[in-house]
Amino acid sequence: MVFSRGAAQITSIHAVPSMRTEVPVINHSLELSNLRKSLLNRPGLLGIKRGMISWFTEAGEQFAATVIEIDSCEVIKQKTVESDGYWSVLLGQIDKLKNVNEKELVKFEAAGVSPKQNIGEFRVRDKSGLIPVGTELKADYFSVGQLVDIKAVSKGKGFAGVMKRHGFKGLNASHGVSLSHRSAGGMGGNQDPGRVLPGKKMAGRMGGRNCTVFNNEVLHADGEAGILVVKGQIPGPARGFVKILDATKLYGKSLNDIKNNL
Amino acid sequence: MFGLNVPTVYEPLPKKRGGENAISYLHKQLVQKYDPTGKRRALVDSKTGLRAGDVIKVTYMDRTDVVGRVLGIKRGQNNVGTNILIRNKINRVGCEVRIPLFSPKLRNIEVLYKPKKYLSRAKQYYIRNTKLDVDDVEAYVKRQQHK
Repeated sequence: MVFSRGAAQITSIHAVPSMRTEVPVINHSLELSNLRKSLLNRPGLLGIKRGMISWFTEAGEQFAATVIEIDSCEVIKQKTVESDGYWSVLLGQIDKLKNVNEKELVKFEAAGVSPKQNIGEFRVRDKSGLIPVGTELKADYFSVGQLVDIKAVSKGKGFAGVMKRHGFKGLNASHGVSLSHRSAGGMGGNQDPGRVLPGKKMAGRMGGRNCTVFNNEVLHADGEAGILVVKGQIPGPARGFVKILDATKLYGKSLNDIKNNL
Repeated sequence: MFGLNVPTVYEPLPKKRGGENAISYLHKQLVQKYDPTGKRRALVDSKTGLRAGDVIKVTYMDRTDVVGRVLGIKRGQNNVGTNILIRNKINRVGCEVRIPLFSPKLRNIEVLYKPKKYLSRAKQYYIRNTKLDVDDVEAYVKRQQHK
């Protein structure tokens, strides 16, 4: 038998025992934002808007469609969580052999592709969405009948009035209105609030901004010829640089969504 | 100039469509698809084809048809969007139809009558509601054939 004799001890009720607390979760962090962000599981494509044509369906319906050229669209770089904090794929399009500086050339050398005119980045949900560097993506990457979103910079309209820019109705054509038929009218209250409230819609620069059209149907995808035809209109002028993605409203999901089976 | 380590510039990919413009390539492809015999294209040939003033009869796949006088042809080089505007009077009301030339709904386009003397202009929109306007086209064609 072992006899042990310790001093009598009573823990004070005011004593704070040492506790191991968990590291608080910071919502405004890259890791959590990566989980929350609604993304696609594969990158899109880069293209050039070439103009519009009439399109006939098998049933004989006719509607307007836009032709997009997919010209030597190749993967230049992959970005990973380890190196950049998020998953993404960098694509380049249109071979450009003149006026490329050495800094740029080094990047394309690393990818093993010829120098490109445009570069675009597509975030993907996780590692499975990455495509090997140097792969050429062709127009038949998208299947006929699926929906796509198209991002481009809209045509600049210059300094536009409120009727054109925000669809205001303008003032009367008669009944004493003079020289202000296309003006905005009232800007708000008088002494209260004594100022024009922020965000008031006024005349100003219109267009020339990033614009996305959602859920355009793919009508034709010819990988060999590099031609993609989508139903309806897309932003920007002919010869404009566009980004084409799977429809985010349909296929876009965050990692949290997948975890919660949403 | 570059330093000692000159970056390698890789060969560009071969040009698609043999360097042809994407839009014209697609137009050619589609026109060939909808008009393999070239019959419709011959119809809107600017030298030998239809002219404003001709009377045509368009038959659809469901065997219905429209008759009218050509007011104008909207055409482009090998353009699938090419269409013919025809005008007729039905119960003394002027009616116009735009016929998409390469529409798969069309069965046939038949030329009923070519006038000896044409009015001026390739697009004869000015005849609407004037003394030059079309009358009931079918009756007019019959009268001309009986002469």
